[in-house]
Amino acid sequence: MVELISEAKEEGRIRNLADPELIFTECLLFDVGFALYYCTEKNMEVDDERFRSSVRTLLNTEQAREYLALHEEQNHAADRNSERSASALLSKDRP
Amino acid sequence: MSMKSKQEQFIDTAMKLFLEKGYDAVSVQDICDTLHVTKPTFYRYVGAKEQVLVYQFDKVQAQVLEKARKLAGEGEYVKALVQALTISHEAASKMGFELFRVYIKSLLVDGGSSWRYSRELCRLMTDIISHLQQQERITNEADPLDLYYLLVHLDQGVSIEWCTRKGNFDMTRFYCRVAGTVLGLKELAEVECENPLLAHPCCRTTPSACSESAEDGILSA
Repeated sequence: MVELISEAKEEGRIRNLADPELIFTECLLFDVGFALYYCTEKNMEVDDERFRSSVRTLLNTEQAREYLALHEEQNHAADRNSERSASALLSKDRP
Repeated sequence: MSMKSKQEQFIDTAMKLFLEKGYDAVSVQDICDTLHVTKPTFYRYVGAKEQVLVYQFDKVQAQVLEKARKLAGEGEYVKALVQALTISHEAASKMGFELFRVYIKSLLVDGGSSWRYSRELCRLMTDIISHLQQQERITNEADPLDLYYLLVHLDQGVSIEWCTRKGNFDMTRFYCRVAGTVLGLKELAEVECENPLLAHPCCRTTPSACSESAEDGILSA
């Protein structure tokens, strides 16, 4: 992922100012934060398009297909398990 | 005594006990004993033990709105933005990662919702971001509300990471840097801060002090 981001940055397709490692970190943090949002704001309209739009905004690009394709499967799994995962992530017993 | 001041008395007492003994070690009965009241009184004014932390952050929301509005009114948009984005970190640092973790978990309970999605705050923040875009200080041209939501999701991600890493990094500095690079706001993007996610998961020191950081950090997993 870092290599993909690095390449896209060099080509000017990703305009986020951070270095590629930090951009990927931001993607991970966003994913976790979005999962919490998905779980807490049950009455709000949370859909794939909102997720995609946020990723495009994060990368500052119109072309976030690489990231989305690689994460699509994970995100579907997260949708199914996000509430349980978020709770487990915050569990006191987690090392 | 008014409903609000009675509630504040419960919140202040409970927070003091939580900080002294830890959240799990304090029961509703302990809070009631300290204030010489009965449990039904506690439930009438507070609702539930977890609500104490939610009320604590409600206070933060009121402070955010007041301070950020004042700064924005003076044309200090960057300061207003930073104030609004990081004021909760101050509260989190004061209460410590264990209590903050309980607060985040309380958001997962039915009906829980982060104060950051309040309509008033969303409106203020989109105004601030929009002004900074017009001044070309924020170079990310996305819709201001999309940018605000993204910043909130990132904040929640950083907060969860801060809790899971037992508060071992400077949440505010790291978040400012992340927010700055996403917004394309140089003042924040240039904040010097190591990436805590590069640290070894078992490491309780700063990333640079951990010999395994580069090899075994979350990014190389």
